Amino acid sequence: MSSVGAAEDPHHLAHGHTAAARDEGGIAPKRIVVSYGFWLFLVSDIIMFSAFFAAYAVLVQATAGGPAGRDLFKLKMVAIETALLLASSFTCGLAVIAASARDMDWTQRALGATGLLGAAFLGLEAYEFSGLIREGAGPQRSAFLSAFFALVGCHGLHVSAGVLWCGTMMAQIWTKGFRADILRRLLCFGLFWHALDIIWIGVFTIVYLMGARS
Amino acid sequence: MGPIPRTRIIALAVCAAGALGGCGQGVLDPQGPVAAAQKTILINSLAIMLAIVVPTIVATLAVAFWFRASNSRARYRPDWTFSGEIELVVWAVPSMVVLLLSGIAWIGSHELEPSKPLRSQSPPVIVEVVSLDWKWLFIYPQLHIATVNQLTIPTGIPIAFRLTSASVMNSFFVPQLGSQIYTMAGMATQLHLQADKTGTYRGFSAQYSGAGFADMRFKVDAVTPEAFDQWVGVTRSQTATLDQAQYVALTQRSRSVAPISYGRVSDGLFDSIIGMSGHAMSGHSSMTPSMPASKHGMSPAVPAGTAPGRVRRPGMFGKLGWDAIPLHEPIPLLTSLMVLVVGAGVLRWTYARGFWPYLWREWITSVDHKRIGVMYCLLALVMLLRGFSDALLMRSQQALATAGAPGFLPPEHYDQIFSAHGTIMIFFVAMTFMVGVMNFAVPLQLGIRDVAFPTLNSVSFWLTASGVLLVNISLVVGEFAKTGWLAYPPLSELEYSPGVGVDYYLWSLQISGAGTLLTGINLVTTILKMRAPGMSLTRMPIFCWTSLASNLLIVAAFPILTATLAMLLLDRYLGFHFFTIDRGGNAMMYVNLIWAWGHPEVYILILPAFGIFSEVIATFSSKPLFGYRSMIAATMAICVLSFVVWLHHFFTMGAGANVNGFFGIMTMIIAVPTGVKVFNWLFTMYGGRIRFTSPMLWAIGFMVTFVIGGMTGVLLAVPPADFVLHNSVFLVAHFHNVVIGGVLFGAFAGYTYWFPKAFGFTLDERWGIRAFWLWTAGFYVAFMPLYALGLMGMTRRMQHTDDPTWVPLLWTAAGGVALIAAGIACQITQLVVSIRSRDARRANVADPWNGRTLEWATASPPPSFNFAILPHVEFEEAYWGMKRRAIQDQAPSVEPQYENIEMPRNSATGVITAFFSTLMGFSLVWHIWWAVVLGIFGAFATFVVFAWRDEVEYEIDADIVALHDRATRAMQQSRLADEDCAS
Repeated sequence: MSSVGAAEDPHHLAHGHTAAARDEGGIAPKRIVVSYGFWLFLVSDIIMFSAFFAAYAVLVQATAGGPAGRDLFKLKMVAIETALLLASSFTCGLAVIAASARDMDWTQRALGATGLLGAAFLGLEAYEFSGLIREGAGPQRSAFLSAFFALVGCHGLHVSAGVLWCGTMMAQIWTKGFRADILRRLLCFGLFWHALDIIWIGVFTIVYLMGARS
Repeated sequence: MGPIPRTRIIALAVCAAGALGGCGQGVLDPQGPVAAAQKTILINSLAIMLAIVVPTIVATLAVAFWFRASNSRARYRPDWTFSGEIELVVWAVPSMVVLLLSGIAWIGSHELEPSKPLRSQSPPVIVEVVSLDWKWLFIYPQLHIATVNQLTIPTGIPIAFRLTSASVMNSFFVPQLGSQIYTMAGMATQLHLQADKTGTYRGFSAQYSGAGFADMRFKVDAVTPEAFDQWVGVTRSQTATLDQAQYVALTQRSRSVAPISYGRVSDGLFDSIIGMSGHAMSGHSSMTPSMPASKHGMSPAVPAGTAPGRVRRPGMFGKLGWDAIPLHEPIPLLTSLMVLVVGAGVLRWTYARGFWPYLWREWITSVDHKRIGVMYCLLALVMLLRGFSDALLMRSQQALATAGAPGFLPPEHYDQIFSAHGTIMIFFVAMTFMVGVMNFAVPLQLGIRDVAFPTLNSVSFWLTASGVLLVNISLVVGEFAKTGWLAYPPLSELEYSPGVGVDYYLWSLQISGAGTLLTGINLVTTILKMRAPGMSLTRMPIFCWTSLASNLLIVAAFPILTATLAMLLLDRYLGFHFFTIDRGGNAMMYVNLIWAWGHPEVYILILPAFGIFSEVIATFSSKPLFGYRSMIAATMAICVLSFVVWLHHFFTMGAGANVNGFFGIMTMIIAVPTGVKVFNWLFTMYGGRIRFTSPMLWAIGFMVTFVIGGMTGVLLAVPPADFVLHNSVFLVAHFHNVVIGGVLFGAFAGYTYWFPKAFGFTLDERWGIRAFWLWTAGFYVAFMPLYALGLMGMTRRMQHTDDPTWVPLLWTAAGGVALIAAGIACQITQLVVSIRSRDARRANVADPWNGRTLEWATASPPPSFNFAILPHVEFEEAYWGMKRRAIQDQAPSVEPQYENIEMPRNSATGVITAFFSTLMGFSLVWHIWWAVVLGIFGAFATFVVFAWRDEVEYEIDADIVALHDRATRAMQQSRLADEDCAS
């Protein structure tokens, strides 16, 4: 084997000359890079939520003589919250479709609906929280309630950030049109909004449904 | 530069450890069956590991010496880079050792499980232990007597301890009797010990618990059963009764309490202490014992930072007032004045020289990964000086404050120093430096122009800088945490740490942690989605692989840190009860969560260092890395395993034998891929032509030092061994052994290795080699004594000690730190000397080490676009292959067709975001709410402005690209011609 041969394949991986290997690598298109990075962010965000879920699971029994989930949760309201959020995911999907059809009016309408549904969800959540606090079941009452408020509140904070992002996104599409970089951002917004839905399904199931039953 | 001095130092240190650890009141002088079994386990495990560690060290030094480039008798075998048989052995040998040790760990953790009663003819004496601030209460429920700070036990009879805490977490430990165990409020742990010989033994808390911690000592009198009965009789004749009222008086904070005896104890006191979950009863000076718990729970927003009784109404600046400036403490005041003067001087000088526009344009707003990488490294080196000055203070305090001497640092100050030292060294030196090196080298090695998200990269850097700034502001305004670098609750809760120190800690880590997370996302995306054409994953340089693993860990682990610190913030700011003693809070959960981040963090730091060493060893051995596939497998194995070992940081919590055994074994398993790496480096050197440049010296120094650190680490992973070594300075020695000998040596190797690439001139070798020897010698002199002291029963975080036999070792350790200081002085000199003689240091600077990876294919420093034409990778060692081919073909490669290059524009987004996040963090610390809102709004506005940019890129003309590239190519051609003549 010549010195070049050894240098080409020093680790004897034996694919140094195949056509497949030569085509590997390279720089992915911007759209792929951006959405890949955003997926990674979502992964990290979901890991953060999992820490809050874990804390909730550890502390769910630690009511310190105070109320437990079954005493507090009103499933009807939570069902409405869930419906609002799921509907907003649908309108968010519509917005992305409208944007890919370059339809400004429908993009704006769908995004506006998404934001409004999100805001309505937040309103209901704020109403629920303030009710709990008035009943003396605020986060300072017990470790269980601390974990509940932190987990659900963290999701609420994410939705608030999403609503803010949605508004900014609408303004940006309105002023700048369907530029490639703006469309990439819209794609990320969509991913973010759907991820919040997935997390909410976890909250709905683990916190509310299981909490109201036990 | 022969290897003899280092071996001699090691030999001396090991002898000293053995000789000194054997005497005194340490764990090697057992006085009971538990301690005796633990000593046997310690020695046997050590012997098993030495059987592999000593040959490895000898082989490393021998191979390095024999294959030195100047040895004409050594056979150069550049093609010997893989051997299936050797790989098999390399994986099998550490596996066998670990298998053996796993057996010890599993059986040992079951046999010596603290809650397991001892086999004995006689029924046990029950002792209930309560740790208070800062003393120990011992209740003998069968005998209805109690004592404080003095434990009298009969010999030959097992003692069954039930333990709890009335306040923060402590650890009950009598080294000569064996296992320690945590005491935690609201719950009882169990421990069974026995003394076989009469005598007086030392007992103390092995878990730092606040200002009076060093005085939290008690005396254990082991007496004959007859003498014990006599003692009980005498104690019963005491008139003092321990009832609720007396207990409440005891909970008042006090230290160095002389032993007290109570002739009677009210029944069920211990269980009521657990039931009360400490809170209402704990005598905190700011709280009356009668204060109803419910009221306290609802009013957490006690104005902290002000002394009790001087509650100030928050004004426009929240809790911030002139009393936040430490005017009465000379050391912090002088330090902060010095920092301010030096800082102002630097600013003034750069302004006078007209550097401000240049700095703003070329550095502060730069989104170039190389510039950002350099700034990260600079920040880390500056913080290394800060963290090291903390180390100087700590070592001198511990050397001075012995046998009743107070030293020069009061506990309030000393406790801040060790907390700041750990926080700074991990987050702002090790982490920051590694992120800097990855930022600089990874895109160059991948053959691309920048990272995936250049502006985000700048934001990451400036968020880190913002965290650094907050930590340093705490030196001047207010205080830093006095909780240790991980801020365990309940000590870090508002009740026990009412000052702003913990808030500084939390916000600076939240802000810099966000930056780190973004870096992780950025670099993972870069490595997986942007590589030069032809660079498949198995053609990636090994440093890129370890960087990928490290950044995957960042993405997976840092969110846990964010969530955990957020929970503690909620506790402190809004009165939540995640980790409080009362209302169901669970401090153990914090300990679990923080280590679920903390252990992966260790590997986030060490994996890039492994990558650097792999590059350095291959380059300076003039051979490809041996067992490249094995290295990738080992890297990814470490990456995954690092998430299933976290519990080994608190075996003493009492989780049970199965849990401890499992995590002990998992921890040992992680030593297998690490061992594989060491062997592969060894075989990379074997058959090489080793040039002993300073990066290579750091690498060899690392190999020798790190296997010792790894060995003590595996020792600590054996649960019963950990029961006597946990939180001792043995542990301190272990993690400094791997962090200094691993991460820091890696950082220095990388610094010297890539410095010419970054700045276009090499660093001075003489001063570099001096720095290496001083650092290495300093490390051994500073930390080998700590191994010995740990075996002698010295626990960590002691503001003062009382054992005269420790003094010589403490002074030796202080001397080691002085050697390290000299090493740092050499490094500063090296930098100054090299800058002054830079024009003489530019020979061959594009590829000064005859490198093998793509960063050496471009100019030094590289142009902003890195590569004129993206290299097409056809070889596994991309640049080495290109060079070989050019030599063989005897023809220069054809000049490529140059094209215009688009590069991202500068952006002030990062620095402005950091400004607002610093404002937000500072205002949150001091409760200046309007400024918090301003900070949040400012950060959002900055992002909107950034998002509204229309031109995000600028174009570099093909002619300029060509101009750059022709110069580089001309240099490369002449270099190749030279080499061809030589070979």
